[in-house]
Amino acid sequence: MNRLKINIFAFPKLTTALFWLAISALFLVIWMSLSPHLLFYVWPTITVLVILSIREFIMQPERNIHRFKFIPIGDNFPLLQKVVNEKARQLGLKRIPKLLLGEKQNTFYRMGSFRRWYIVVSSEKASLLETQLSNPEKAVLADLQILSVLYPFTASEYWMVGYLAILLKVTFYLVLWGAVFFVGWALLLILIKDSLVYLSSPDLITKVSSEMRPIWEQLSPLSNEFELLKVNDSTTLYFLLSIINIIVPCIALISFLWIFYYPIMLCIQQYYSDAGIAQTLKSTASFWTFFQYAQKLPSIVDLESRRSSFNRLQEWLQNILMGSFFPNAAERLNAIQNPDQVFYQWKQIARFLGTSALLLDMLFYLSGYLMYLANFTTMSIVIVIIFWSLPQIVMKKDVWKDCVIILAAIFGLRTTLAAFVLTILWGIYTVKPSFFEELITVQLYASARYAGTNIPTIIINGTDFLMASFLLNLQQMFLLFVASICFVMAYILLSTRALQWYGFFTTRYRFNIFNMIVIGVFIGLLLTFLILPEFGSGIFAIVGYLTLIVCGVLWIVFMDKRYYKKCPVCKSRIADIQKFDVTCANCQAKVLPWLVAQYETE
Amino acid sequence: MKLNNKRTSHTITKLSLAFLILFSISVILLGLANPVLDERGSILFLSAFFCTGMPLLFLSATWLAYINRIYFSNIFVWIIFQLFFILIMIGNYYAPLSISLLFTTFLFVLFPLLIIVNFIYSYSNYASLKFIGFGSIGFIWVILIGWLFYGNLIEKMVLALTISNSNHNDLWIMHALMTITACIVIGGIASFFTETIKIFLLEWQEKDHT
Repeated sequence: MNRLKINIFAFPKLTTALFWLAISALFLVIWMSLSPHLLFYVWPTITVLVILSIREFIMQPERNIHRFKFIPIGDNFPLLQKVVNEKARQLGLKRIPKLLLGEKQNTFYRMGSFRRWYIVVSSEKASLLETQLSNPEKAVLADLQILSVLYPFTASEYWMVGYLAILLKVTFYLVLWGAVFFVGWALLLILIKDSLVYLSSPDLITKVSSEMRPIWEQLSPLSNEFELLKVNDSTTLYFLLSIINIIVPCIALISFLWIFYYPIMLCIQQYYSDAGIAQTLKSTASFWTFFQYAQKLPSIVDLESRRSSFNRLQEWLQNILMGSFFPNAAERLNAIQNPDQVFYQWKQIARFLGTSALLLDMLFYLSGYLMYLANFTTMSIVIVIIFWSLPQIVMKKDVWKDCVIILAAIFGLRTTLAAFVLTILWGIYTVKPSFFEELITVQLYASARYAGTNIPTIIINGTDFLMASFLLNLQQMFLLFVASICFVMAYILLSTRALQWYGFFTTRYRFNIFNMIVIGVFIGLLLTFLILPEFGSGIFAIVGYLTLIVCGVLWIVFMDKRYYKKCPVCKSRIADIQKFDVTCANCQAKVLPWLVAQYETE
Repeated sequence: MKLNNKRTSHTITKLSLAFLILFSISVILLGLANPVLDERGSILFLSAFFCTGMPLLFLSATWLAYINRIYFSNIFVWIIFQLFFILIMIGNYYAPLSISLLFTTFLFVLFPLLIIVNFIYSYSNYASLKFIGFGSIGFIWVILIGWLFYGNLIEKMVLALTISNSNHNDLWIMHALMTITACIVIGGIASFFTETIKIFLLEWQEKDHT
């Protein structure tokens, strides 16, 4: 049956977008954590992080080979090797993965780095696959399993998903190392500060032998060298809180990305893989055959090998808030039949984004950088909504209302949380004003990474402070909500119109580039105006933005005039059609053919 | 000409052993006979031995460690070597003056050898990051905890260097742990750079690392 299905590869890759969002979030939090006084360490930290993570990613296959004692398959299982080679060529892979024999039963998964790819298979599984391959009736089962293992190598998200997992792990360890090392280093400096001054004192010099005395007399006190040596008993608490303020946002973000974000990427990668295999085979028949035979489907991740206690914790936490960790066979079959399901329904989107934003807000309330991070969270929400709305726009669905509901739900939750925290602060202030003032003072010093002895006196008027906090926070939330609505609406309007530039979007690459430019402009504006406010001011910036906006509008008008509703073949006008597979009534040419998935469904 | 590793290592081992025995006996005799030798004579005697023997001893020890790198990549051998270093350090602090010179000589060789052993172990087991991470933390926290236990370490170390009978003090464990952790970090860093260059090159050439 050849039902009309949307081609999910026609849109910018969700996994790619999620990968870059995660990377940006991670580096932004590192930057925020180390600013303003430790900004010198930002680039060294990021450089070390990048080198270590790439190195670990490249080394991962070797570690596994060494750890699990995988051996090359050699001349064993020639039929399996032959079929793997054939399928790799069929998929157009740049290189053929090497087959390795694993000891664990029923193992069949892929691993690799950028330029070295492996497939690990146990002897039992290899025997079973060979048996299936030699039986024409069951060969389709083995084919599907081999394609499932090979397909992720075709796209760049293969290394993105793998690299993100390694990056999160490396960042976690680096933060832990930094915490233990620098706490030790700082405590040592605090401990020895008196001794460094005492080093040149006359008491010690008298004990030194006469030959060495001139050398010691020349030693100058080292106390001026270190800012930390200024720490005294009353500021040690601020200093320790500063370190907590650096560590907590990093750990919070890594936990969030690992528990909620990474599994979502895996799920989406699975959907892409299924759709890709269906397009390669031009049919979904093998999925149904496999399902009827095994009551499950081969997956891109070896779920059995992920049963470590940490993975179970990840799965358990995700189950609480997000539903099942990995799509089951029925969900995957449904997604192959209806590819637009890959982008989820709006309720799922609202729940995912709302939960994520709420969690991040709660965790970042612990640090002093909520304002910047709230902006970043908003940017991420808008980008995810755009990615979700794009297929809906293509399928001529009315997404305006859904987008408004999603954004209202998210910002409603975030505003409630902000109001809740501020109400608690009001309560504390009403019951015990002195404690409130102490609390705020400590947080202010800690946020400022202040550890010196010359503490500027901060006089806090509780009522004014709380009123200002209420107004600023709620005002910020409202402004972000309005800005998000405006941008999403503008995007929907532009995309709906641009999708009818039939003569221009002759390939999916043009469509992808167009969307990436629009999203890039949005990110650029948001970064400039919100995250880096110092770059947003000045006459040059305003002139620059105005020029950019005028050029953009002129370009859109020009494109609209030239391509709107015009057939790319006969240039005649195409009438309004409520479907995404548009055909020219004049020349019968298929317009935007890349929007339609080319495979048959059961 | 291809170097015969086995024969070379046998020769070097025998030469080193001979040198070590000769040197040990000489040092012990020197210590025992110290009253009959004047100060200048003993200094000349020791200088001659240190100048000729130390480089040979160090090179032979390094060569042996390299030839037997398969053993040094074993965690137990690695731990035994660290314990051996601690023992030598104890000997250096607590042995009678006549023998402690021997331990001091050993220490001169062991410092660089310790770095080489750490490098070999780290390189063979891809453990450079663990070495750098745990070594640096260990170094800082050993000093911190040592300071809390012993008080002003700077003063104690300065006094240990300058006061004649300060050889017998309670800082030997501090010295040993600081040296071990520092050598672990240095070995780890050397291994990290070598490993990383190798890993990136092999990745570029699409070759297996193992």
